[in-house]
Amino acid sequence: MNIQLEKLTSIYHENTPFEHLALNNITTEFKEGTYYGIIGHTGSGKSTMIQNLNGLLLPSYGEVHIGDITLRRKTKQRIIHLVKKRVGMVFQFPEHQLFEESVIKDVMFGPKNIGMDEETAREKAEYYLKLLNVDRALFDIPPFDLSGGQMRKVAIAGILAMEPEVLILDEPTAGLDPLSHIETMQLFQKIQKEMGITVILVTHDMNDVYEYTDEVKLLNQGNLIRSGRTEEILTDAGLLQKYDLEVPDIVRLTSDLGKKGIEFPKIPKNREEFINLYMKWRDGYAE
Amino acid sequence: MLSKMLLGRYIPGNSMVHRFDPRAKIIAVFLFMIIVFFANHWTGYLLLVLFVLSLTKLAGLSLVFLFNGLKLILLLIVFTFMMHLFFTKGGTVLIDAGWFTIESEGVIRGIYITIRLAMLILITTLLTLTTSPLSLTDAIERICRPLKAIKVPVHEIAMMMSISLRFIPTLMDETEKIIKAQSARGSTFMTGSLKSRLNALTPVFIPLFISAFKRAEEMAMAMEVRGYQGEEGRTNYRVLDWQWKDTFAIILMILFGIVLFMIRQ
Repeated sequence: MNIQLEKLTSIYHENTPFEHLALNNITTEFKEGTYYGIIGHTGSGKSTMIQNLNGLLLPSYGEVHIGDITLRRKTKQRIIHLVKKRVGMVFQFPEHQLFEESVIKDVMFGPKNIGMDEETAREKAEYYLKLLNVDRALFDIPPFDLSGGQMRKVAIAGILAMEPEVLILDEPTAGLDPLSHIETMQLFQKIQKEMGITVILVTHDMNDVYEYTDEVKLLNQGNLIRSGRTEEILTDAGLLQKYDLEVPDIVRLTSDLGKKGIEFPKIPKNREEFINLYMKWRDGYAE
Repeated sequence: MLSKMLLGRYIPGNSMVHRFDPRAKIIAVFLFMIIVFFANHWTGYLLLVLFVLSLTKLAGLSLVFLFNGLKLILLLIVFTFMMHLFFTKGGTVLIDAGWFTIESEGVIRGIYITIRLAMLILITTLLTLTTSPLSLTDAIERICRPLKAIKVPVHEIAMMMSISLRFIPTLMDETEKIIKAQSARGSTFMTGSLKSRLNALTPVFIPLFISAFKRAEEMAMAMEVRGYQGEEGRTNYRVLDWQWKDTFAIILMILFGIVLFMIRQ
């Protein structure tokens, strides 16, 4: 299922003194099975954009096509509800949304809302909790007794159990320790590859964007500046600096090494590739 | 929708009304609440309306803005008017529809009470619109200080008030966020029967309470860590400054009251 934005304009508090143009005439596309990153400085319109992708906000002008569903300014709640089934969204600090009396019930909340029966919902909940390494012994205790990291996993399982075709992640690793950070990001990558779903990642962490995403959309003050392959955009130090964004560590390291005479044939995408390229360079150097 | 509500909001500004000492403003509003009841015929009510309108002008606020912000209250005012229209009897009968009558006394009383109510709402709204919540609580603390003689914990109450005021916007933001998170999980607030809509509120309120309690605990901890132990030995960062113009404003208010009292019939 593809998502198309057509001349999407989003205005907050229209026709009041507080009017604010959050997104300005954006036309772009999210293709099925691709891992997207949305980057941009604070206030660039990232969260407005993702909220338009699952009907939490409706366009002020323009249209959003989600598969065969079209969202416009005055789309009915009944239709918006259909979108929630297809587009799942993990908010920043998702553990703040937990409310049920047991972990398993909380995970079943979403699936039941979109029409799964009790049994299927339980099956899905158990499957995704297990996938996220939540121990079976924890299924029946209140989610509030868990640690922060575990609560986050339960909340994420709650979205995955709805089996959305598009998964939107808003700063999914904020406040996690480094180990859980890597674990969580690798998990999303695994899910994206295995299930072939579209993932849209919104984050300030350029390292994650560089390592995990296929394509990037760069926003600045409500305008779509660039849209294209991750390797092209995130290795363009001039472009990133112009919009106040960090250059990914690995890109910077490679270019610094290049200046010292250690030149790689291409910029590595992750740690393993870096090590491989370096080993190759070393072997060649030794000869 | 909530963002348009004016009740309890503060609009920063530098008008004459903004610059009065908050204590003077509270006392003046209190006096006004008494004075409103002095008026009992047209001239009195006309004076009241003129007084409030000129204050609004002085505060640099537009009437349209006030009106838009108080639309919800309008419902209450219309309701009061209707009650009087149908249930106050006396004078000549204007309309007789068999099962109900509208009599002249009802119309007149209705209009009077409506003006009273509207003026009271406008003047208190003007107070909160032109005074920041913090200086309001400061002023209340100072005005109520004599009550300490009878063991009323004035400082603690004022502290609680300013903390609650401080957290209103935070909780509003939080509510919005949780509503969004739950509706992304397919929760429906806008459709379905009343019962299912009420049920949809549980997933909002529980996380909200949990985070509010957590915040309260953190706040208490942070205050204790910084050595807060009540009023003993504390000075104020914002010092209230009572000037001649404040005394003058109070005197003017009292004079206005006397005039209204004199023209009573």
